[in-house]
Amino acid sequence: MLHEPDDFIGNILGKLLNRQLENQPMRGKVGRWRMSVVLDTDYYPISIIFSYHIEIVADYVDDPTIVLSMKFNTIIRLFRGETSMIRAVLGGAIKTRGLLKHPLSMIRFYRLMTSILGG
Amino acid sequence: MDLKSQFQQIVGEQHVADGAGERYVYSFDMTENPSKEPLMVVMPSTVEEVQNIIRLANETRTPLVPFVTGQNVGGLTIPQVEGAVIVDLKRMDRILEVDEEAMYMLVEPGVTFGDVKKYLEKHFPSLRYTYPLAPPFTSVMANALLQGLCDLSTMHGSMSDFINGLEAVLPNGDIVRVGSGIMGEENWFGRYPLPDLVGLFSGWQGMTGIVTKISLKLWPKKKAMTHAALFTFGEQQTTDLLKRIVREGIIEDADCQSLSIVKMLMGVAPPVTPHRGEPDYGTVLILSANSEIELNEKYRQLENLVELSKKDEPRNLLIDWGTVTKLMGEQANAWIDFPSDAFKVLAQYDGLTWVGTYIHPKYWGAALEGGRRIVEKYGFELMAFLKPMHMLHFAEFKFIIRFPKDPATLERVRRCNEELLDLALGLKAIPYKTPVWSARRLQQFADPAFFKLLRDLKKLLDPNNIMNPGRLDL
Amino acid sequence: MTPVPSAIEEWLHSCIRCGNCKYVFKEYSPSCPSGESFNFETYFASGRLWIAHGIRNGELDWDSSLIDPIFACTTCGACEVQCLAPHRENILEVIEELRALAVKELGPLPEHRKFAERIGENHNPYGAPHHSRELAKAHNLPLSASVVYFIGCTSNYREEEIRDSTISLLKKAGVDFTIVDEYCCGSPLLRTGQLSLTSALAEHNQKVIEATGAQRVVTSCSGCYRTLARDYSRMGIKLNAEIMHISQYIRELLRSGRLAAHSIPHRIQVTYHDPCHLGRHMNEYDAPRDVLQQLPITFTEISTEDGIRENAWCCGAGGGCKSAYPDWSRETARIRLNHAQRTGAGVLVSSCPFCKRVLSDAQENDSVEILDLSELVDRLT
Repeated sequence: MLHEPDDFIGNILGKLLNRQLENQPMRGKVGRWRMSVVLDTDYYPISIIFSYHIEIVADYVDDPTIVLSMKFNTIIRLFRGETSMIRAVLGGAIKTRGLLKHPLSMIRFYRLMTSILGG
Repeated sequence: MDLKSQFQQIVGEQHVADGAGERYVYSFDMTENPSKEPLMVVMPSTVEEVQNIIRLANETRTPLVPFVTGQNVGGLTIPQVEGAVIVDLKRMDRILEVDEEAMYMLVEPGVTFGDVKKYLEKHFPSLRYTYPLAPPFTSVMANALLQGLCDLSTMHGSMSDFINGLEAVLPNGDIVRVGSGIMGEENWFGRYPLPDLVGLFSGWQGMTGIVTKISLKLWPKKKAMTHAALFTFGEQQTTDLLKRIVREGIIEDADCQSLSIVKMLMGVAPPVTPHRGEPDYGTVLILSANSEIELNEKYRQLENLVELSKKDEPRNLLIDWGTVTKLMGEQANAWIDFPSDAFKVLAQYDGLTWVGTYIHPKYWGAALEGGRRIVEKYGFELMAFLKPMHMLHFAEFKFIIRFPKDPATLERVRRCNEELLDLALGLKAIPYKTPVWSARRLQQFADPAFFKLLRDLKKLLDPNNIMNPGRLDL
Repeated sequence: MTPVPSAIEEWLHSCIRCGNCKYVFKEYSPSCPSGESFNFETYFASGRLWIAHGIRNGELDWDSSLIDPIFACTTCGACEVQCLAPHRENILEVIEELRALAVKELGPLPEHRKFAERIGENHNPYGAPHHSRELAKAHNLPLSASVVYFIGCTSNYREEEIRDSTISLLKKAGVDFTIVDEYCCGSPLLRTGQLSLTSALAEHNQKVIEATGAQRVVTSCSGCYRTLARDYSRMGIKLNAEIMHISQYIRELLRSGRLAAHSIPHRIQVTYHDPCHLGRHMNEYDAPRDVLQQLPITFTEISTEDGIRENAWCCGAGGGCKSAYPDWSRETARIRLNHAQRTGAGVLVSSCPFCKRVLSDAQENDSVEILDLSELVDRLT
């Protein structure tokens, strides 16, 4: 289980991720990922580092695998099912970087976020 | 016969205690206010016993300090003079009457918010009382007499505004009733149209007698209710938005707090510090209505106001409580329940304090900005708590400090609170549940005629100065 | 004995006296027997914590007037359930440590000293002649077995029907068990601050249990269960066996078919009282209920308002209170009896001999039959 960080967004994400990681197959799968994702929100950037263990850091890590730029409100809207990841990307509510360079990482993260946030 | 034996004759041997443990435990509370041991603790259970205690105190010039649960966060049950006797009123815990038509309850001092909730749910489910940011074991009467705030304050004001009348034992042992209860039983509907003598007891911190019964307004339980969380940035912008929301009359209550408090509830370990970019404030909004249609309309209006505010601050965010619960876990429902467990974040250590004040709405933002600087200067967690009061006829704000009561921290707390008070007084705010040091400072700012009148009234009612002497630095 | 870190020291800056320890949080029924009876702030958990703080800080001097606030507490643990503060799981630890300090400074209460002396002489607090292994011989039990039945002093010397019923049902189930030359587990001493003998008792019990080669130790007494399973390891005594309460073992026997209930013409109505040492202290609420579900009875819970499971009202016996504060202890038990009577059940079952004892003593008429779980199971299997 990952440590829930002390910042607002990180703590929420930590709680949501931990609920997913209660599922052993999911835990096993995610445990094998090696990538870093930055959620660059209008509040502040949050980085999720998938390594031997998952870490959430309230910062913009160097050389991230993927960057998703979005408003925090978009995260809430995803969670409420008012939009979906795909619709948000296509509509410009989520801007991505690293999709072409790391498509597998993007797909993995998309699936994880979909199961956490819905949509 | 010694004094202890005389008190034992009044209340029974087992209801008087002067042991080392009692004298110690009753000598302090959770605040930084200095301790002082009482002579003993006495526990009456009837009005007659209270009268006899007061008569004996007058004869022997023994100071008396009323106490129920000691949770006033102001040191108000700590004796200010030597040789005081604590009158612990928790055995007087009857709910005497609930009038469903006039919507009031008549209760004794020891009745707590937990008692009232349980009783009303069982016997009068269409009615509700209120509750403060406090545990359920807190005296309903004490909160009202100390002019505290609650979850109906945004709509209806301080709990003292809920007082319909009371019965008190005066410092000479006489019983008096004030309010419509002067006409007899089952008639405690209001304070008017009479000279409003509730004011001789409300806010006096027990200096004018011991209130033995109090009539308090109850409210109809609304059929539909919902909660929402509002996240905002900046002191001025936050208070401006809150003012707009409150003036629309669409919310029942609002608890605005520093995001640190929200993070504490989420389980972030102490010390909880702000992170750059986080919202500054999280406000719990309560909406209630007589139907789902009405509720939905109120919520829609709230959403509109928040959307409009995004012109100036696009990051403002309103989240319905269902989503809050999904994000932060089922624990979020416990925060809005009653009893709410939200107060548990205040129980982190053995010390808790605040300088709570009521203030003109125009100074609200400045008070928060100034207070934030002071708290940060002293290195305490940022725990501002603010509430619009009585449709924003006034506002409440305080900076909560939770702290371990080691000597160094105690000293730092005292200095921080002094600066917070000076800031508040400079903005013409008035402290509530005022400890002596705070009252002393207040007198330096306030109209002296007011305090002269207080002294004169105190002397008139309590010539031997036996009732909680020293309070308000009178 | 392994030195235990000081709970008073660890939790010195805790407790704002919010009052949550006084009431069941949501139900808002009284939860603290001593506070409800004595009323002063010192008789609630918060008051006791602050007495401990005061002593430690030097703000409060030892005085005989501290004895009642410190010792008139059954250590039922209801306060730990209701408290929401960080120190909540350590309140009883603080109280027990405070008691040990009080005994050092002021001496034990006379009634507590008496049973400590009896434990020293007779290995049981009742001063009854020590059974040693005579019982084992009387029941033809072997020297070694896979299960040790640790009887507990109250079952062995006072509520003997509990012991006899347990032996009966273990035999019925064909369990390979034996009885050892057990000494008092030490619980009465641990709860009353009299720690000097406890290591020796624990070491003796460890030795005699290990000599049997048993993989499991089953006990009738909730107090013994808590002591063997929890306190012994804190004392550095490792019992190389699984410690089980009889309710857990009976549940296993019933589920495996080694014990089977027989049908009866008229179902009796039964209610259940959660012993504090089994419930709150060891978090076992389900095993007795699971057993009751398997029996041909009609089970009615005590109401949630009166308190069940983690909110159960204490029987009044624990923490040395039955001996030192008999009147108050009895009054506390009477309240619990009222709770049971309100269910309309004819039988009140508990799974602790001390609960049975104090509830029986408090009963003024025979309105309710008070039984231990093992007695009921033996009767119905």
